[in-house]
Amino acid sequence: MPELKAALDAAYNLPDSLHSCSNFVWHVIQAFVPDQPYMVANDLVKFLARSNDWEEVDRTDSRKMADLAKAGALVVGGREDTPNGHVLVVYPGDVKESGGYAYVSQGKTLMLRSHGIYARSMSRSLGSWAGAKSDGDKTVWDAWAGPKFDKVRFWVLKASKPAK
Amino acid sequence: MGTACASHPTPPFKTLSPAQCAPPSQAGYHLALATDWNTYKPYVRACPLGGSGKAPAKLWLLTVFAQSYLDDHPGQTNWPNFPRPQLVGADGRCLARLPELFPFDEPRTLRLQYGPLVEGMPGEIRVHVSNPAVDGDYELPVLRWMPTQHKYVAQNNTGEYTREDMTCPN
Repeated sequence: MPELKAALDAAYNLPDSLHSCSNFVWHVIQAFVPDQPYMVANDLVKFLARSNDWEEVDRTDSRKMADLAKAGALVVGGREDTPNGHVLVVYPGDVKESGGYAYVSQGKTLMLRSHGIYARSMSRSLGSWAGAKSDGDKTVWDAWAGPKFDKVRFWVLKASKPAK
Repeated sequence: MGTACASHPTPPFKTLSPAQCAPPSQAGYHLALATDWNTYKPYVRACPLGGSGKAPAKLWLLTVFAQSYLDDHPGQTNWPNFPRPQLVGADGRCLARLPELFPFDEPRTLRLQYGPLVEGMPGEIRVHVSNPAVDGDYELPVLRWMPTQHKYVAQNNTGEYTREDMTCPN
C-alpha cells in the first residue's frame, strides 16, 4: 500500500484536481487501486456504498476516522446531491475544531465559528466555498458546514486498514 | 366563441423582512420567554406574521438574532447552542418550530414567506435556505395551519429535515 500522505499530496496538485473534488479523490484512490475508473461524485458515493472492498465508517466517530487515516488507511467521505454531490478524503492528523476561516454573507466578510471537533479533510472543489478547499486545514464537516453533513457517509478501503 | 379561462391567482404570500422583527414587547408579544432563551434575551426578536396597524398579529416567530449576538461577542470562537426559533400564538403556545435561526444561521440565511391569511393566521409558511457551502440551497418542510389541531403541521420531509424537526418540544 502507498503512503497516504504522499498519495494525497501528489493527487492534490495534479492539474485536473485543482477544481474538481471527484478528480482529486479519483487520483488518491488510484494510488491504492490502480484500475479504479473515474466517477463523478454522485456515482462514486453509490459505488462506495455497494462495493465489498470498502467498509462504512460511522460519520459521528471522527476520532476513529482520524485514527484510521493516521495509520495510513484511505477513508473517503461523500454525499449525493442534485445536480452534483461532493466527495473528499480524510487527512491524516489529529481531529480539530471546525470553522476558523473567512466567508462572505450578504456582502459582509465573516469568520466561521467552530461547530464541533471533526477529522481533518483533504478536498478540492469547483465552487467558491472555502470549507470545501482543504489541505488538512479544514475538517470533514466544513465542506457541508450545516445539516447536509448529517447525510454524508464515509468508507474505508479495507485493504488499506492497519493490521490488528 | 369561448374565452380563455382565468388562471388561479398566486396565493398572496408575503416575505418576512428581518426589519419587521423587534424585541418581543415592542413587537406586541408580551408573554415571558422560556428559560432556555434567557441567556440570549437581548438578542431575542419577535417577528409578527400577519397583522397590521389596525389588526394586531396573532402569530409571531420568536428567534435569536445570532449575528447581533456574535457582533457583541467577538471572542466567541464556538457557535453557541442557540434555542431553535418557535412560531407562537398570542397565548404563548408553541405552534411549530424551525430547525434553523431566522434570518441567519451561520453560514446560511433564511427567507421566510407566509400566506394567505385566514382569520389572521397564515395558511402556509415556506422557508428557503440560502446556503453558500457545497450542495447549496434547500427548502425547509412546508408548514400548513391546521385550525382543528391549532398548530402548524409540516407537510413533507426534505433532504435535510423531517417533519418531526418542525414540531414543538414536548
